[in-house]
Amino acid sequence: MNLTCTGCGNVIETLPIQCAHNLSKNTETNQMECYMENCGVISIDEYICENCCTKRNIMKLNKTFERLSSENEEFKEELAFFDKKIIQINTPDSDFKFWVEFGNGVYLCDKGIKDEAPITFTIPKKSMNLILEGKLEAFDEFFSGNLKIAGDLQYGIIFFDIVKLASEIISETGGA
Amino acid sequence: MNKTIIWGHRGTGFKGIQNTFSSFKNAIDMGVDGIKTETKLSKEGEVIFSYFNKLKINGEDIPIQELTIEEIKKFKLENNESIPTLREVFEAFKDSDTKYNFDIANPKEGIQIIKTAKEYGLVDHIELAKPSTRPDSLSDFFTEIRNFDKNVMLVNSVFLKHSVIEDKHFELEDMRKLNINGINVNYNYANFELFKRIKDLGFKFCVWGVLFKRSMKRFLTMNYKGEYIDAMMSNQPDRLVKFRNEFQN
Repeated sequence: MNLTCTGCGNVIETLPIQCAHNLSKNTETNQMECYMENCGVISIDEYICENCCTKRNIMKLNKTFERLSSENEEFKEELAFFDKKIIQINTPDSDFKFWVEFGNGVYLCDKGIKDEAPITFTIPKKSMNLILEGKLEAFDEFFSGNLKIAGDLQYGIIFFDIVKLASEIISETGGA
Repeated sequence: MNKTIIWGHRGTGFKGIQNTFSSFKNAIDMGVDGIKTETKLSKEGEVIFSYFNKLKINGEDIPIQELTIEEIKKFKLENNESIPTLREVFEAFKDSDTKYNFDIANPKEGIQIIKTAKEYGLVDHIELAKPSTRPDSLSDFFTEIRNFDKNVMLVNSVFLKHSVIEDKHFELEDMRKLNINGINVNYNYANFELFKRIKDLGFKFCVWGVLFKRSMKRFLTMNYKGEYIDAMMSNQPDRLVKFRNEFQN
């Protein structure tokens, strides 16, 4: 069976190990589905490659933080202590780019390029994903050269502190 | 019971322009015990306050060490202030009991700071720290300084790459040989077990980078054998001072 990624259109040549073990038929939709770890259960018709799954997960996590900044008082209050900062995040292993704005009580993010971003991260998307999930230390990536920060380093580091805080709040409150 | 010493990072941290005279003054007015910052040496060897190694002058990045004090003083920061010299700051705050913790780049810079502090009778108000981004051994970094001055307070900031901090990262033998007084760790890696371990080893325990109310509260209320954490540095020193007054009475 040839699988095509519905995200990028590329043929999927290898499957993550969990997919081979978790392919099942949804009796309600009559569709074949697969559990794809971070991207949840996905129908074969909407199947995406690992590359697109990582990108999707990065944006999903960022959007969760964005929502948290409007719903959680503690997160909102902490973000109010910073002036607005914009970070452009580029991935050297693909054309995937996104930006994050934090400060003045908000956390915003979107795909693409923000021209006025004074801080730029260059980091493989897999590493970025693992940092956002709390499975990898940003400092480790920084010192190993995987994470490059252009601009004010201290605000770059604070971004990761904010991500940790958001994750902590989410794990305590279940999201809000 | 001791109270935790609060360092304002480069003055008032994220409020105002860092490493300026007004930021230092505002931090002292806020109630911090001291300023934790970085310095550089001018061409003549004068100590000035700057995180950056270079200044952009007429569109060109020039290393600070190639600039004279006169040239450095002409440079205007975002708020139109000049870069302060260590002498100016020592002179201005000499009666305020303000402490200073310097993340130094090399032994030469440390020795120059000590010399200047001696002129103002402030050696007991300064600490010299190995920055957490430096992988150098303690011995390479501090031996010359310790030989120059037997009493100045020295602090070992554990290299940031060690996200799980173990005894081997403290370089205990050199800590004792060089009479290094404290260990400084990033707040993300600090916890009660580490605090206990470092106090049991006989060193001061310092935490840097503390942000957010929850972590300020966690560290300000941490107590071992009747002692609080020795020092904390924050980019939000006003909050930290406020919470210290609330939690440490």
